Amino acid sequence: MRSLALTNACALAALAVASAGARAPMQTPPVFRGGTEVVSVDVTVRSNGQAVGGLHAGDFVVRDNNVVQQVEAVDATAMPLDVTILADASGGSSGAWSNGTSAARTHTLVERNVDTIAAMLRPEDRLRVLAVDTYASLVLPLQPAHQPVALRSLTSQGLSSAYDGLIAAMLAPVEPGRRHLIVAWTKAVDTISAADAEQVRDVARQSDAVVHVVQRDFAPSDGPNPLYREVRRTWRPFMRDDPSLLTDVASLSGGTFHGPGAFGDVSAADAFKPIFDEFRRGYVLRYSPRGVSRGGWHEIQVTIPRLPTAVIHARRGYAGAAAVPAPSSSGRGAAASPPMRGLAETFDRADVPAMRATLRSTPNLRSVIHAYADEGAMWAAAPKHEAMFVLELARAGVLSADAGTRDEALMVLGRQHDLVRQPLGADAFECAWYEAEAAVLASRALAIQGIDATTSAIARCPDASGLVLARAVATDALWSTANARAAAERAGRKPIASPADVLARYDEAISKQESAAEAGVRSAWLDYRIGNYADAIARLDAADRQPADRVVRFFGQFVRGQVQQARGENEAAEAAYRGALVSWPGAQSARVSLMTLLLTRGERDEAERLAEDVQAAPDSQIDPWWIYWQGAYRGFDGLMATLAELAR
Amino acid sequence: MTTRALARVVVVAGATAVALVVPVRARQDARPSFRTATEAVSVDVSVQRDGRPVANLTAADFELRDNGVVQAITDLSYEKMPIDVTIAFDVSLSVTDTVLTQLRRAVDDVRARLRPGDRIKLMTFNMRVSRVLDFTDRLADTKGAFDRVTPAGSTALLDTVAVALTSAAPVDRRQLIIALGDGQDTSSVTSEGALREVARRTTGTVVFVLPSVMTRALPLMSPMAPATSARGSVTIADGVVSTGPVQIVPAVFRTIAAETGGLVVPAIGDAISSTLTRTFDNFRSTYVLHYSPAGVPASGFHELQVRVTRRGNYDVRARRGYQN
Repeated sequence: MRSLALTNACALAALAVASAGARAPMQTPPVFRGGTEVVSVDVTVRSNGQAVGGLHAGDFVVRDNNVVQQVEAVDATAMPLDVTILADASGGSSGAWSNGTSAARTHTLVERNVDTIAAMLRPEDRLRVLAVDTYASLVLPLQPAHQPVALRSLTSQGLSSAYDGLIAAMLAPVEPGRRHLIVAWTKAVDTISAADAEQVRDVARQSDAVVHVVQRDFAPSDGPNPLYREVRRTWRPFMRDDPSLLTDVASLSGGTFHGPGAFGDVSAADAFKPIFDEFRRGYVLRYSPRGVSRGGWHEIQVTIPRLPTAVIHARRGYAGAAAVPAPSSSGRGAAASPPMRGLAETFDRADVPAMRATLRSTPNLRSVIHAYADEGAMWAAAPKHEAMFVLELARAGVLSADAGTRDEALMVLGRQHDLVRQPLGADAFECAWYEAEAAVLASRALAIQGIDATTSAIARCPDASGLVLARAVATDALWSTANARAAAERAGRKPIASPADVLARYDEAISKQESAAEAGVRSAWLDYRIGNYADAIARLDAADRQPADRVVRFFGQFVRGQVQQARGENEAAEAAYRGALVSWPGAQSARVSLMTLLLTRGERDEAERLAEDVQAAPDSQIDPWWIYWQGAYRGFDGLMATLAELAR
Repeated sequence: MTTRALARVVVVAGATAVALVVPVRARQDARPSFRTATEAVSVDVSVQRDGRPVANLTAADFELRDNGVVQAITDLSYEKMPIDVTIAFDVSLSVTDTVLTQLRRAVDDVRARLRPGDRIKLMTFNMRVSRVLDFTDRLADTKGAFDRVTPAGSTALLDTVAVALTSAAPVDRRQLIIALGDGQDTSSVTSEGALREVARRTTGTVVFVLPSVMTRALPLMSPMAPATSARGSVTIADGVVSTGPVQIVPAVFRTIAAETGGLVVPAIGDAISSTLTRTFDNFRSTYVLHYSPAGVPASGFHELQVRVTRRGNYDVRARRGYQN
């Protein structure tokens, strides 16, 4: 089942810890948001051992808590897949239970299987590999299926975090229009996961993925196993003894459990092929629940009256809204203090202007932000919602004139920077969040913080051009501005040594298509400021002269005017300023520059008119030049809209 | 004779002139034409002795050189021409409430010293240059004009002065521009060189008033320019950062003031008001010398030198020259 309104839960935070190896104990069980409006159910149908194709919506009867629903069916054959391979590499190179498996051997085995599986996928499909050992770790981030596979090295330290690995795989977000298939190739033994079996079941109920479990070595129901006993003796405090878990996970998610020998020599690739064939030929049924209460557990039954003997695999159900411990439909908890609750309610209504007005008029914003930091997450069940709230809160704090408020805001923002990390690798939301964070920091031209945040983010999202550009702008600000340099000195940081270092950062951004135009203009402005007029012109010539972004277009024309005026090319400068005023009518910077240029050339009448226009401009007249150093901040609202879309 | 600065050139020009060419005693239009067949130059000259204006001087008491050539002064007036005073008021975030209060009081005091026929114009500036009140002789209109000002944003002081100077100025009125700022410029696009060129082509006299709090902030300016920067750098002022080729050091203000015959006035605390009114009084107590340039090419920059020929130690201020 896939609920379009359902996203992965705060267990991600625990998983981030688990997969990162921090081994922090899970403080709270994972909870889920259940504001379900559209339910999607992955269904596979077999008859006489063969997958059945060609079915339509009218062939299916779907009951939600025993109430027949009106469904639409999508032939899933054409839908692209995201496939996650969960490879159990647990077991050290020595020790009874590992069968002498070495890390290198396991790595080779997994790599060979992954290559085989990748070859079965279509170009539009994607593949990721998650390895389970003492820690669950992402050894192949989600990538196009036909891209060469380069696994990160596997470790075999002797223990198994299979539960954590399963949860990490199941909580991977699924983009609309794609299906997520997990093949867990595991020994079915867990010795050290942060999550327990019930949490794994909970996640399986809510996951957007269909999980097929292929057991490698033995069936838990086979009774005591030498390997098992060894583990018991050594790691009893951590031992999980829940032999039905894996079958439950498969069943709850709509997949199947394949015991040892089910595929003969059960290599992952062997196991994958029949699973993949069946899954590929499945259906996605969608419906909006009617006639049932939203809350509680919703049992799903799928039948095909005209194929009464068909074997149908679909998930068993899903948890509705009332199953959420949080009282708010947005997943917000009830523990917040009154000021925070008011803000949270405004944010839940998506009334951003009201929230910002409230924050602006809050007499002691510092204490409000501090209270939030103390109280912790308000939307435990909706971490993305929470992450967006933090951006708004931090934005208000960073813009505050009070240094203490700014510090509180930066602390909260930095904490969220860590929490927003997705355990399976950065997804679109995470990368967009980092861009919004960079925008918040740019709102006050906080150069050092901007460089640190973007550098960390780029390591996660190397393709995010907005981050690369934001880092370049912050680097420029650090080199250029006295305040930033003073802040760097106070922080014991090395200053930016030369403009060449800044230009190198801009060149990184120029190499990315989306940021090339703006980076080109900004680098030209830097060249202008250091007197390299010829280089500045060359950079402007190389940049796109008609970028779609009107602000960048204005910047380019205005900077060109400045450079050409400095070179004594007054006619060209005049044309550039006039072009800038076409791009952004009324921009004060261009008007003033044109005014002084014309006055110098004796064109007094127009200069006087421009002076009059400048003074008489309405307050609504904004000049993009005023926010040049705020870089990405001008895109903050757009980024928030993107985040809202991605969180949905 | 010592030379301080304060003076004004009111000028004249030929039909081709770029510059400040004015028929002497021209009509009192709001937007006068500077183009006339008559070439006459008017020069504001402030003369002080022991800190007090010196009155009762005649044309014979002055020697005026235009590009080194002594000129015949055809007319002289003293305290007769009406004054257009423009007060530009810094409302950037770096200006404290205390300073704002002092500045408001100073504006009230200047307003109180205006005579019939004088006019006042009020401007504010942070990164935005705004006219709060256009030239008016209805002084009541100015009351409370700055009351609702809330400091915010960065500072475009040089842009403001450039706009104020370029604004149309009636030829039969003297122009005084008083810029009350904190001595920092964080977002102007007008360079010192460009503003100097503007000053040479316009008639206003610029006085910078830098209150004590602001004056102390001046040392912050110089480190802003990276050592390797030929064009200066940028600075941040409470969240808004300059994008301009920042070359703003205190010398900029002195240069521009001197170019226009004005001066930089450091005011300390409550003395802002008295400093401003004294500045205004001194400006009023100024001679206007008129001459028709002779023996010098009409075009190009005309360097002016003015001195008092009477025996004694006089402070004489006049603008450095004009561009024709």
